[in-house]
Amino acid sequence: MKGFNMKTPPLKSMMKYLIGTGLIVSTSASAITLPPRFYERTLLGVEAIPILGISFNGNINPFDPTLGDNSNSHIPQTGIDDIHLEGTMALAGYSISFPIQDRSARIAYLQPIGNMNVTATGQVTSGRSTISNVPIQYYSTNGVGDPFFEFTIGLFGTPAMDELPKAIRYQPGFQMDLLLDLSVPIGEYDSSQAINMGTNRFWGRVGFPMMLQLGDVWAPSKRASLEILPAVTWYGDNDDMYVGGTQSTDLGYSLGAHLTYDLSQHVWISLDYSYVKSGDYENSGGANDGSFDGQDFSSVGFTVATDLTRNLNASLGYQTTINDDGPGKAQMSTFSFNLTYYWADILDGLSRTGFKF
Amino acid sequence: MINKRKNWILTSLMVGASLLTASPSFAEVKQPNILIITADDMGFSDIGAFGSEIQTPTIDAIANDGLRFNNFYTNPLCTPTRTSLMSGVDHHRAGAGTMSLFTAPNQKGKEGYEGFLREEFVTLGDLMKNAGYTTFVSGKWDLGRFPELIPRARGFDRDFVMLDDHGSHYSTLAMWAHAPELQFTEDGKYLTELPDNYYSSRTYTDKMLSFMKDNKKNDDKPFFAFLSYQAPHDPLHVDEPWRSMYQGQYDKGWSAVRLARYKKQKELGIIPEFTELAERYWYVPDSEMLAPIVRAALGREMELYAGLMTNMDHHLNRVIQYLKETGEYDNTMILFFGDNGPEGNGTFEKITTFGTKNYIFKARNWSDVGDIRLQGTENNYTELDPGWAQVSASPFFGHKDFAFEGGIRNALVVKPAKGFEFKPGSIRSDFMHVQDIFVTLAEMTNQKFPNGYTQAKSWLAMLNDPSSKVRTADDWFGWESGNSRALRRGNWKISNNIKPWGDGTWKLYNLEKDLSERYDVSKENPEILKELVNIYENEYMVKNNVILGDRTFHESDWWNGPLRFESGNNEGDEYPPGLYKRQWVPPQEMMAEPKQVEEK
Repeated sequence: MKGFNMKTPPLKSMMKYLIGTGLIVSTSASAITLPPRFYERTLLGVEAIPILGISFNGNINPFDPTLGDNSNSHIPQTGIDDIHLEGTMALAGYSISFPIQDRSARIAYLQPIGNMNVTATGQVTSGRSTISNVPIQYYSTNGVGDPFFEFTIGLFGTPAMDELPKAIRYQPGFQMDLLLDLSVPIGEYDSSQAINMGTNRFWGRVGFPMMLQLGDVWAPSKRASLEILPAVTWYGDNDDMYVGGTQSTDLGYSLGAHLTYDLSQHVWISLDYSYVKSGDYENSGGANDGSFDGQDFSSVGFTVATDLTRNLNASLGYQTTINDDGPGKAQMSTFSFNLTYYWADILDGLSRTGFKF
Repeated sequence: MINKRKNWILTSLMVGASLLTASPSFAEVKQPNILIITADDMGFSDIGAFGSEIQTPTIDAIANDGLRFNNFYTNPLCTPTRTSLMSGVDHHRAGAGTMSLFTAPNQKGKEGYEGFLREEFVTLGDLMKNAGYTTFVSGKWDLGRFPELIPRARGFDRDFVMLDDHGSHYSTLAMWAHAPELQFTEDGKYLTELPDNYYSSRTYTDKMLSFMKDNKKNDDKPFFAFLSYQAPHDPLHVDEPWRSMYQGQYDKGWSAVRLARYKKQKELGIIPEFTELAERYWYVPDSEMLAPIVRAALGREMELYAGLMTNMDHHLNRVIQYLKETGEYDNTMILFFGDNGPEGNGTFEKITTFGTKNYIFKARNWSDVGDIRLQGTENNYTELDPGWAQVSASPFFGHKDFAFEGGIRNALVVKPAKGFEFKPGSIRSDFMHVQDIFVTLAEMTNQKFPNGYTQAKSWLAMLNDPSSKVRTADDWFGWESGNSRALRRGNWKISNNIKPWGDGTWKLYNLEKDLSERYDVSKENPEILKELVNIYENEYMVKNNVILGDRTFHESDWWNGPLRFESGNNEGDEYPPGLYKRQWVPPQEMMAEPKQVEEK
């Protein structure tokens, strides 16, 4: 007979999905949009440690896209045709979800660390011959970047999942959050250096992450979603530029979009798109004064994600700019590898007492 | 026997022809349509009119226009009940002594235990066709799959049926490694595939509507229609919005829901004031002590079950609206009931016992588990826990496959056609059985009962005269399924069940005071017990070909373990047959594509 049994299929492994797989970390950088399924809501009280490794390569600084635009305005212009940035970064942090009224909220802290280098290339004339694309300047930096805080709160859709029954039933349907980001300029910055890990200015962002569930089932192996994040980015002034003076930047805009789909119970993929229009800016009081247009570029890419264990998710992503062949066009390719470890007291307790999930 | 059936058909044809020519009233007055609707594995309390919180407005409205019967019995399992419905006799005589999944070694090969309705029995389809009706069946058939046993061979002019007992509501997916495909027929042909956009309740309704419309366009003859829903049988598959319709509503747990239904049943007058709620099963905890997440997870089963019920009701409404729009509703006699008590046996888990080929089949095809959001979807198999089965069967004890009241007593709604004298919306307590329907329709159409010995009684007098009763206090009726035995005479009921459901001895209950079979009064009434046991053993079993099995499906219940393999089996016995089911392949010349019909 079918008796009451905690091992019956509905109970046996549902715990695994209480948290969802959405805690894949933000890259937390203004030029790199947040990863897919980042705004999937979770059981309140879930804590997470995300670790994101990024390798980038291009002609703009992904941590500050106002730097490295088509006029290469932050680098002395003498004989420079082009610049090339590359770097390896890690972002590690912490996030926790909690309720505000009946709404689901989350706060996250992320800390960038790593190294970057920039190579400026130009023409070199030797005797009768002129050679193009020769490295003529090289700068590098490493250390700790500006920490980054993010707060989100649900505006529409699923209310706070403050109980396990609500969490196991979670289906996004359509949901929209309010997102507030703030980056604090306490990372390493030296105005005598052409590039820095820190940006020497506050910047922040207001956005509205939206998630639309595609299909009528949101459960592992069945999930599909369309996610859109329109946002406005605000920049403080950098009053100690490399070449002296102050840089003031107008508002920037961005749009991120993801189309996600479960390939199987444990693997999902996403097609990613992002558009960034960084603010126009003005340099004053230094050697490179003037008004400049902000960057304007689109990227496409993909993400593959899986859950490695009950508590550990991983994803691998690639993004590259498109329509970037013209002179002065922004170019950037980014590989990212993300690990997120998450936990909640109740789930760990259930695990310790023998509940298999 | 086959000759007997042919002779009856010839005689009936002549009688029918003479009736049509000799009786002006038959020839000139359109006979009432008959619509029989069955819900599969629905419990006594699962419709609003019988105290349920589940929304069944269509069925409730039919009940308001007609009568509710709270003392109506089926058999404990689906094939046996359908066999009795179609033949008017005890299922042990007619070929469905038990379902083929459960046939015991000593029953194997015995007449009456074929697992289908034997060919020589005249069916309701034959009976009504002979009375000048056009005959339709749509839904679950479960009375045999061979060419001579399918609806076209059993008196039905039009059919769209699933031949099997259960399986997916969305596809032909079954549960057996060697019988992976459910089989369907349509108008006498075995289907090579299902029609587009197939979902059991929707498609069965679409087909029934198309039959009715075709009939209206052509002959406009009175129809006999059997709409045999597969809902709410497991797997609990249902589309949105019904899949989410009851989300969270059963978090209160089975104890609270059962109590609420019990109170509502008293309020409605479905059960008498003296009725006590049956004991909760010894292996089912009080849901009050379960953690909220566990209640939510288990509640999902009932959410889906309720969703299937409401979805079925929604589709049934399409038929009722059609009848009203075409002016046929008043002239249609409608019967609605469940075919046996609710499922609570974990049958799917047994069919797919760990390590078997069926288990691998399950892993391949039914493994969308582990997340309650997958429940209700196509590759998930959810069935009711016994705690919910007890809710469905409220206030009774027992569920499907047992001769306890919860396994055999079901909700019956009858809306007679115009011309009958009855008080709409009233509740009657006549002791009735599903076999009676055949006899009633035979009487209605002035035909003799063609299938030999029966305990069935006609309802016609009762439907025409509120003071009339279907059975006297001396009439008895017996049941047997998987060695669960019972007999009722008047308000006395004896029952005998194997461990752990009983102790193999006969118990005696007085249903006049104890509907929930709580109090064994055999010691106080030894003479009554003796008399009824004597009737059971020397009349019921003998006259109805009851052979007790030397093995039963429930023999492993008491240790809640896997099926018993270790003793009493000879190689080749293939017991339990539910683990050995094999695909039957229809003749190629009888295969056809489905007709694409989708009604709005």
